[in-house]
Amino acid sequence: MTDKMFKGEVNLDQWLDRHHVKRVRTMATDLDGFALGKYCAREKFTKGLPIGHNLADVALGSDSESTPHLGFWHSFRRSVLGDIALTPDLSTLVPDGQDPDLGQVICDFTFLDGRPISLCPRTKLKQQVQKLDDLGLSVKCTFELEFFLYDNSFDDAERKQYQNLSPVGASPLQTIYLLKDSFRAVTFMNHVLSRLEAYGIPWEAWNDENGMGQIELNLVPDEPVVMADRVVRAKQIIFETAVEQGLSTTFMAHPQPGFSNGMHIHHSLLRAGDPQFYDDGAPKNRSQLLRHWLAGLVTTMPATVSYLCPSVNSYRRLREFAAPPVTATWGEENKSTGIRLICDGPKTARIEHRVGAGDLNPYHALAAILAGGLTGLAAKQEPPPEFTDLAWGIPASVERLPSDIMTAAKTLEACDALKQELVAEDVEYWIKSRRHEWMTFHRAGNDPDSPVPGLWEFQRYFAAS
Amino acid sequence: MAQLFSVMTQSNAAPMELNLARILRTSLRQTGGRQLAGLPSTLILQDTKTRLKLRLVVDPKTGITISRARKTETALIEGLFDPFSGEPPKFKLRGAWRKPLLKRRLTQLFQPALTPWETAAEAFYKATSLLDPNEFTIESYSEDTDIRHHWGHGPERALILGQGATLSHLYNGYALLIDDILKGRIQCQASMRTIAIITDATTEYWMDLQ
Repeated sequence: MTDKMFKGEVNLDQWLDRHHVKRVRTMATDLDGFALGKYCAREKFTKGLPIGHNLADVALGSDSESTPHLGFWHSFRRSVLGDIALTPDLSTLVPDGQDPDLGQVICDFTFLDGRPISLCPRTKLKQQVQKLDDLGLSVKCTFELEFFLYDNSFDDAERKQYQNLSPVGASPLQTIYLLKDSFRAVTFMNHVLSRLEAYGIPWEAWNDENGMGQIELNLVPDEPVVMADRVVRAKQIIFETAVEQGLSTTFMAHPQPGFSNGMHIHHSLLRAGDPQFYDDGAPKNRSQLLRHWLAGLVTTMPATVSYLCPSVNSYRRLREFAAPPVTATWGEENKSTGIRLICDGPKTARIEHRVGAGDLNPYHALAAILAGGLTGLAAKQEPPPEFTDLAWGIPASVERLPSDIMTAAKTLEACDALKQELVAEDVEYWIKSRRHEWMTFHRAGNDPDSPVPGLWEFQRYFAAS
Repeated sequence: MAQLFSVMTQSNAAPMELNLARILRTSLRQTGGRQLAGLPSTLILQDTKTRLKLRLVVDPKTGITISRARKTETALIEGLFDPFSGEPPKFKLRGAWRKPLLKRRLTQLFQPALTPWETAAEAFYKATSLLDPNEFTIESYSEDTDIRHHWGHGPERALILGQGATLSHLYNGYALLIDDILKGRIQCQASMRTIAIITDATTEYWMDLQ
C-alpha cells in the first residue's frame, strides 16, 4: 500500500535496500498518452539523480508510431537531434510488488539541466494545479477507466487483424452489470487489483460494462497529478496482466461497432480542504464558485475536445444516442450532456466531465479541463442555461462538439483563452501534432466515415493506447 | 469587377477534398469561372486509390460545393486525386470521346495552369507568416533547368534542391515538402528546426491556412 512509497523518506539507498530494489523502471507519458521509459540498473538510476537519465528529444516530439515530428517545431527541441532528460519524481517511487527486484517511478520530461519542459503533459497539468493553488484552491478528482478484455492474446489479436475477437464474458448479450459476465473476468481483475494495491492505488469498484468484454474500473479520488499518475500506472498494470494471462485489453476509444471506451472525469474544488461547490444558501445549492467554474468548462468545452479525444479513433465514439455526449451542454444528474453536475450535498457535490475518450492522455485531459474552469473564474462568467432535456437528437441550433480530429484542432486553435492558459506554443504544437495524425491516417487511405475502424487504427491504438 | 466564386467543402473534409477545393479555387481564379457555365449541375468523381466518391455541385453563379457521394452513385470522372502524390490530379472522363468540350473544361478545372516555380516560390514566401526573411535565407535550385531562387537574408540558411517540375508542384501547392523530402524528390539541407519550419509553412499553404 502507500506506506511502501518512498514519499517522505530521507535516505533513498536505505529505502531501495529495504525493498530489495535492484532495478528501477522510469515512466513518463508522451503527447499521445503512451507510457515511455527505461529499465535502469539501481546504480545508474541513483547516480543520475536528481536530474535523471537522458533520452532522445524526439521521445516528446514523435507520433504514436515513434515517427519524429519533422514537419513542425517546438523550442524545446534542438536544431539537430539531441537529448532531453526523464527526471524522476521520487515521491512516486514504489516497489513493483510483482517483480521483486523492480522499483517504479513516474518522471517528467525536462531539459538536461533539469528545467521543466512546458510541453511535457505532466508538467502541463502541474502548471494548472499551481494556478489554482495561487487562488487558494485545490482539486479532488478521479477517472473512470473503461476497457475491453478479450480471451485472445495480443499476438493472436494481431494475427486475426483484430477481427472476430472473443470478448471475456458469459453472455453473448450486450448487458451491463451482469454478474455472470463479471465473474468470467474475476481472475483477471483480482490480479489487476492486487497489483494496484501494491502500487498504493486505491480503487472503489469495478463492473461489467455495456459492450461485450467491457469493464469499468473506478479509482478513489485524489489530487490531479496523483490521479493522472495512477491512471497511467493502472493502464500499464492492466496491459501487463493481460499479457501474463494470455489475454488482450484495449483502451482504444472505439474498437467495435456500437460500443466505446470513455474516460469520464469527476472533480470538485476545495479551499483549505473544504469542498466549495455546494452552498445551501445559493439557488439550487450551486455556489458562485461552481457557477463560474461551470461556465468556463462549458464555454471552452468544444476547444478542449482536442485534448479529451486525441486520436482519429476517438471521434468514432461521439455519435448521437451512442451514450457519449455530442453537445457543449450541462445539466444536473443528466448523463446525456457534456457535463453532468451532481450537487446533492456539501461533500459529494462534483462535476462529471463526460467527453473524454478511453484513449485520452490523463495529464492533458485534466489540464485542459482545469484550464477551462480557470477561464470561467477569471472572467466571473455565468454558465449558459442548464440543459434539462435529453441532449441527443436535438435541433442543429444546439452547438455540437467537434466530430473529427481536424475540426477539434481548429476549434482549439480559435480559443485564445484556452491557449493562453495552456501556453500558446505548446497548444500550437499539439494542434500540429493532431494535423500530422490526421494526415497520416489519410495517407494510409483510411476512411473516417466507415462504420468500423480500419486495420491502421487497430495497429496504431489497440495495444499502445 | 471580377466575379468571386467559392469552393466549399463539408466541415470534416479529408485532405483529398481540401486539396481538390484549393485546386478548383486556383482554377476559377485563373479563368474567372468561365468553365462553370458549361458543366453539369452535379459531377460525381471517384478516386481510384481510395475508391472514395465525391459530389461536386456546380452553380455557375456562385461556385462549387464538394461533399461525399454515396457508394452507389455512378462516377462520371475517375482518376487519381491522391493529395499526397505531389502532382496535379490525373483523370479520365467516362465517354470522353462524345464530350470533347466537357473534357476540356474539366481539364481546365482540375489542372489549372502552373505558375513558373520561381514566381510561385516568391509568392509563397511572401505570403507565409511562419518564415521571417530576417531569420532565414532560403535558396531553391532546380537541377535540370539551372534556375535559382533566393529569399530572405537571415542567418538560418536552407538549400532546397530538386527537378524543376518537382519544385513547380511544390510551390504551386500540389505537394507537401515533407513528402518530397521523405520520398527523395527534394533534398533540403538545413538544420532540423529550419526544415521543420519551412515544411510547416508549405503544409499550411497546402491547407490554405496562411
